[in-house]
Amino acid sequence: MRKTWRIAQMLAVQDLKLSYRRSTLGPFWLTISSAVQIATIGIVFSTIFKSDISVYVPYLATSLLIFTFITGFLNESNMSFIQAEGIIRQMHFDPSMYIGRTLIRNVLGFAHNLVILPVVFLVLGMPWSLGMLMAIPGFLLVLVNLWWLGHLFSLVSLRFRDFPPIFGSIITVAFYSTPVMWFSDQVPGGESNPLISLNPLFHLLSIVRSPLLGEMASETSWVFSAVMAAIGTAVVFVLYQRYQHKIAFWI
Amino acid sequence: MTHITLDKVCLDFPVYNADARSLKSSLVNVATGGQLRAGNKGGITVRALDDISVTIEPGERVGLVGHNGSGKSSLLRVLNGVYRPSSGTSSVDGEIGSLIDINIGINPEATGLENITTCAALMGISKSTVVEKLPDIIDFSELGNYISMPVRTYSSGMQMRLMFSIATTMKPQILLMDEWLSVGDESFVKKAEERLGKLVSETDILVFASHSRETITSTCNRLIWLEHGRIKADGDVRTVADAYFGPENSL
Repeated sequence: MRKTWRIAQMLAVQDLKLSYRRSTLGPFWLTISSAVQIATIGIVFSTIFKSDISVYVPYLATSLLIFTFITGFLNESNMSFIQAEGIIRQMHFDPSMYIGRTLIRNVLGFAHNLVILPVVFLVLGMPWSLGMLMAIPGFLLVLVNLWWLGHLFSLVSLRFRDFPPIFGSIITVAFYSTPVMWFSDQVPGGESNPLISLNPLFHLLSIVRSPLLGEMASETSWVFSAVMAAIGTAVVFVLYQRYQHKIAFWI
Repeated sequence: MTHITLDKVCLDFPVYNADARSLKSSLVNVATGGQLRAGNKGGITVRALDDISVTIEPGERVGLVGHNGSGKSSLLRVLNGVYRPSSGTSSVDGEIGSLIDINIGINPEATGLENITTCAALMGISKSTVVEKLPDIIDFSELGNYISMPVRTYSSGMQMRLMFSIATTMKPQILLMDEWLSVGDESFVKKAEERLGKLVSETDILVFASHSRETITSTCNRLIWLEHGRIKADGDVRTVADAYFGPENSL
């Protein structure tokens, strides 16, 4: 178990290092591209929505960082096994090692991007509060959900090779249909609108985003995320009991 | 105690056609009740190993012979845990070292030094061993200053020497090998032979697949002949080699 994590961590760090090896800015070139994205969307959409920049930009920055972390991980988890083909054919590791590698890599990338937030908050004079700490349990609950989702998608993608592109399209649609760039009270009924209340990505986003913005995430979002984690973990457990030995054949 | 027992091991490979690998086609199949695409389920299996029962004790140097596709590599991969038998049981006690493909986990973008750490960890070589043997690995590979260059700048011979030096650092109780490792470079061959010979002689059990009569007779003390995934003969090297290769020409 410890060994599995050590290898996952080692490979994740290597992945990350190599991805910015030839860049002078090092790990922060990704951060800069996120910052530019936030600035651009922030200026354009705060004008379109006629909202105050000091309200819109912190909202957008938090939303975008968390949302890209979640969907970025899910997208890469599709390749967790497929990319490790060489290793899977030669060695036996706990399949979770490959999902762990993807998750650690994405969490580290997210940590780099996170430096944008304090800058935005300071510049735009957002108030700091202890309530922000609620984002930590929120984030942990998101990780639990990503853990089972990663196990699910990596296995499905391995078996059905046309799944990753299908998933890519779903993510694009999800970006526009989830309140990332827009506020949930801009649709009729707000958070009780089924467009939002049935969107798992909204709830996962909420439990991290709302505390950071000094609000409370709705109880619904917490319950939704927790129930999803419990059911999902159970489903994936059963799925892996049955199919984890097929991984080497499907690769 | 180091020990290998296979009891009535069968290994079935699922072979999928393009349709069976497609989620879209599979969903269409469900939606149309399979009527339109009858017989297109892609449910072909290939039996790679058929009813293999073998016990291997410490001290045995087992050679595997057979034509291409006779199941030698599949058998090695059952032993190192990559494939789980479709039926029957496989019990392997002892630390396994696998030289089936020594290029496992190599990353062309990373430097030689970085690859030593990751590849060794993937091969199951402990961190302390790597630290202790690092000068020896570098020295043996004859890479000199190239060790801190990305592996993509290496010639194939240099890469081979690096991987060989890493892989032969392990001290497994059970050693699995698919063909005798040959390292092309003339000047390197002799010391490579010595190093591999030492590794082979120090291991408790060797399972070694090969097409070369000479290597097998000089290394092994037991020979198993596989044909169509079944054991055709199992016994002392001389008898089985005579049966498989034909009687040796007496000079």
